[in-house]
Amino acid sequence: MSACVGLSATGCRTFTATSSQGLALMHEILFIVSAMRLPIVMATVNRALSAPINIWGDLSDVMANRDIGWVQLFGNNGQEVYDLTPCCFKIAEDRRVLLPVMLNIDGFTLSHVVEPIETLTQQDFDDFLPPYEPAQRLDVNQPISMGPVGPPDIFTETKKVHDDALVASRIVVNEVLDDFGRRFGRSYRAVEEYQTDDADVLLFTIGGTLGETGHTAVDALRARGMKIGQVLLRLWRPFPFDDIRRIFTGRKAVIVYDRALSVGGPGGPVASELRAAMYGRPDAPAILSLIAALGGRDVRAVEMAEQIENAVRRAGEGEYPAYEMVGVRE
Amino acid sequence: MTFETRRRIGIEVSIAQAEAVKLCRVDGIAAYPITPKRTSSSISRKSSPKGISTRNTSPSNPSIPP
Repeated sequence: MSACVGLSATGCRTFTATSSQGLALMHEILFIVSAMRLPIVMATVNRALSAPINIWGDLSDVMANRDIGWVQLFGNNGQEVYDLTPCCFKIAEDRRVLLPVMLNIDGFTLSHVVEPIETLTQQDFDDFLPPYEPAQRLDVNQPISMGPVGPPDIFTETKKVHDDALVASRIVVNEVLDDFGRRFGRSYRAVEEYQTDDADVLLFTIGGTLGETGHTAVDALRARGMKIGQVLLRLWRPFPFDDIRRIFTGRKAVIVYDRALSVGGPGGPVASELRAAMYGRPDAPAILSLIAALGGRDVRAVEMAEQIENAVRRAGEGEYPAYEMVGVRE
Repeated sequence: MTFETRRRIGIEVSIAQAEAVKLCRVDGIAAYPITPKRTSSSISRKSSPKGISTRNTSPSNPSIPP
C-alpha cells in the first residue's frame, strides 16, 4: 500500500488487491491514503483473520477496517464485481470525492468460482471512465508537500473535512451507479431490496455468500407463508442511514446475519450499525443479531431458514440475546 | 482478453476483475505473488518477492507526470 501511495501521489491511476492478514498488515497506511485523499482502488477478497490459521472466507478483515475513511462497497456476484470495478475508479476520482474505494469480494465462494459474466468492450470502459486527471500531484517542477505534520490546531479540522467528504460521497456513489445502469442496463443501488413490499420480517445481509443463500431461504419461507423480505447492503461506508431508516421503520423484526464478530462487544458489526441507525425511533423493529459462516463455515439455505424461523419466534416472545452465534457444534 | 463486442463468457471472478482493471487503463498496480512461480535460476538472481508493475508510463500519456 505504501507503493500505491507513491504511485497515486505522482498522478497514476492506481489499483491493488489484498486479503485477510495482508489487509491487517497495511492497516496503518490505509488511514494515510484516505486522509491524503488519494483515489486508489483496492479489491479486498474477504477472508478470516488468524488465529487459528484459517484461509477461508468471512468478513473479519474488512470489519476490522471499517473506520479507515474509505468508501467501501460489496460485490455480491461475479457480474457485480466486474461492473463495480470501473464504478469504483469513477467514484474515487470524482473531484467531489477524491477518496480511496475498497471493493469487497467474498473469499473463495465468490473470488474463485467461475460464473457467466457479460463483458464490456474497451470502448464501453473508455466512454464510461474518462482518463484520470489528478487534482494535484507530486511534480519536481512544481514542488508541493503531501501528508505534512498536522498539529492540534488543525488536526480536528482535517478530520471534519474528511468525514464531510465521505458522507457526501454517497451522492456520487448513486450518480455513478445510475450512470452505469443507464449505459449498460445493469442497475445497482447502495441498498438492494428483495420481496420487501409486504414484509413484516426482513433478513439483512452483507456480502455475496449470505446474500445469495439468503435469497433461497427467503423464497422457502415465503412458500411456507412467512411475510419475509431481504435487504442486501452493498454500500458499507458511508453507511446509508437514510435508506436504512426508510426500509426498516415499521417492520416487526429484522434478522441480521454477520460474518464477523466484535469480540467482547455488541456482536455483529452490521447489526450494531443497524441498531445505531434505528435507536430511539418510533416503530423501530426488533433487531436480532446472528453470527454465522465464520472462517468459511458453510451455511445452507435450509439451515438459514430454520435459524430465521427460530429468531422470529423469539422476537415475538420479546426475549432474545444481544447476539447469537448460530451453527455452533456442541 | 479484450473483445470488440460485448460477450457472455464463463470466467473465474478474480480473473474477470483483473480484466476489468485492465480495461480501466490503470497506470500502476502494486502486487506480490503468493504462489511461487519463479524458477531456481530466477531465484538465484535475488528477484524481489514484491514488485510494482507499471504500464503506460510514456511521458506522452497526459495522466502521468513527466
